[in-house]
Amino acid sequence: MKNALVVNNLSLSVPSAKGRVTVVDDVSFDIPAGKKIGLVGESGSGKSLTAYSLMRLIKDPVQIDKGEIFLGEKEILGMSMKDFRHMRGNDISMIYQDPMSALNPIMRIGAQIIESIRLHSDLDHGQARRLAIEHLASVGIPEPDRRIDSYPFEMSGGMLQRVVIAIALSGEPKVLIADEATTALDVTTQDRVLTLIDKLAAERGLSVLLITHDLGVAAQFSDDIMVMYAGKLVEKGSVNQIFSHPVHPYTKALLDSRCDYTIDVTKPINSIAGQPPRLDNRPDGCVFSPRCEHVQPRCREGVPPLISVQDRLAACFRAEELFHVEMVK
Amino acid sequence: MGKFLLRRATSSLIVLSMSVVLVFMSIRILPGDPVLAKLGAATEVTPAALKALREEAGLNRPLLVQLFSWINRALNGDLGVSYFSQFPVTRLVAERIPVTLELTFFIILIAVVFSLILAPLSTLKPGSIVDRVIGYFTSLGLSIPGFVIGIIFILIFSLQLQWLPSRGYVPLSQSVGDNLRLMILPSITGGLTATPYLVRYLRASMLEIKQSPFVRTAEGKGLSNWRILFRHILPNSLVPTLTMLGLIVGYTLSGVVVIEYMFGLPGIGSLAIESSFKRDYVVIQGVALTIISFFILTTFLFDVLCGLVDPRLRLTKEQKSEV
Repeated sequence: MKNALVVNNLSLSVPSAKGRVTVVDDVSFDIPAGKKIGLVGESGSGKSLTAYSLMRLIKDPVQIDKGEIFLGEKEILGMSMKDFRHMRGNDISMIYQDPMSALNPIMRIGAQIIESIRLHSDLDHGQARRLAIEHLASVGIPEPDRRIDSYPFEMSGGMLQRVVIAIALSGEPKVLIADEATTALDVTTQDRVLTLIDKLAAERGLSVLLITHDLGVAAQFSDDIMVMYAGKLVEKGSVNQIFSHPVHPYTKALLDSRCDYTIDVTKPINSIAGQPPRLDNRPDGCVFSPRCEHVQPRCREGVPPLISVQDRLAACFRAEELFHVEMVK
Repeated sequence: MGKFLLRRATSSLIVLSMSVVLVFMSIRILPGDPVLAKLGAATEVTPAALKALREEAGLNRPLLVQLFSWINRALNGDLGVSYFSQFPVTRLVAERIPVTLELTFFIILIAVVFSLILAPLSTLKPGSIVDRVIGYFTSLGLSIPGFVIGIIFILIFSLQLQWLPSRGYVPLSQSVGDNLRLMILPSITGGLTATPYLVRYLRASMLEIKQSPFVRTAEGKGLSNWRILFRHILPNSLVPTLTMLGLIVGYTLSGVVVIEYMFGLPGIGSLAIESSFKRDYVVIQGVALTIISFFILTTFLFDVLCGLVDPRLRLTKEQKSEV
């Protein structure tokens, strides 16, 4: 299958007192056309920075040190900003975390959608406005011909996120990134917005990268899931593989510390011992080794590569072995 | 919008009434007897004559009665008569106010035009050479007092190069060209003092807005930097800056005294200085009232402007709680 997006060896760093420290470390992945990929990890794992790199929205002091990003046939990191601007919003676009602050507060929502439509087409204002109303209708905003003249402060969070989605889709992109798109919303709205993104992606054959810290959201939405820890991609597989038989100890520990209404409230909730490594004090070898219950001396010496294990990718020396242990259980 | 205007106008009226009372009272409390001041050097006055004069002026009546009769007359356009020239205060003020308003207008025009060019330029790339050069000039402008700039200008452009006149005033109605020629130096002098404040304020405000998530959304659409700057960042920075500008207009109105005096412009500032030297209380009172009224008027106008730029400001409390 053709890939809509390919990321090769992406590394990002930020300055610190001890010099530049790596925050995204040699991350490679691809998104096949029409697939929905979930990228999960805790705060600070580098998942949002990875997403922003795809839009080239990385700002000082964060820096892209190396890597290639292919959008379709084109490599975008080496491109001039002027050239890439034509692809932004047009080939790839993004839904942002907090809809309340993602829109210009003193501009009518219609103007904000029309601005994007006109940038990517040669429609006149009247045509763009009609198209904007259609977009608003397609993201499920009631009375779109009236709502188009609303200001952001006149709408609820859920409605605003629909507007943000309408803007993201107004350039008819092929790749859509949703960065914690439902995190700021309440649970029922979360579900509706997620269903909407799902429906629109299916209708338009979009390739989607869904970034979330919520495993439930990722499982509900994605075809494949990637797990990130401390700037490293540690495991990638189908939803079923990741949730039923995770092979990387971090993925397993993460799943074990989930809590929802099905858990036994009389038992304490599991948690992963220790803290994620400080950015300026990353361990040698495997980044998860200081907290890993299966750690061996070799884990502290070499960095385990992301290799194929039981039909999925995992970055652990003991993945194969742990998979069998899991299966025996 | 109607309700918003009404609310703003009401609060302006309240401020105006309070200042009227304050001006009236402070003039009464000041030491010095206007009747004696009027009689001046004439020493051979009997106490009876003094009393008669006081009664004639209504000064023996209770303060509150005096206040209300003064307000009543002021509302009818009568601010009293100068003790010295015997001209009505309204006429004196009316003659002088166009000069001050014209000067203020040009000063603010210069400040606004320069700020709208310099602030966006310096925020396009913070820390760049352009930004730093603009920073040096604004610091310089902030630290040199207006009268020093004025003197330097007179020395260079009037005395050395003899390009522009250094003093005097010709009404607009008489000769537009001469009027403008005379206004150039005072306006630039005032403009140079006002511009740095506005540039710095607008720059800081724009840099803050630049960090907002909605600016990232705009970038994500693929908009050009210029469009993001002028369509998204600048309008959002305008609201706090307009409030600041309103204050600058107010201060300029009352603060052009020095410039008017230096360039021999017969504005309301010069009138205030002249009447202070002569203790012409009625005129001072009229001048103070005029300046206060214009101050309140500009604040009101700038409040309305803010409301036009930012729809959120037009909300009433009840509407706010709904949102």
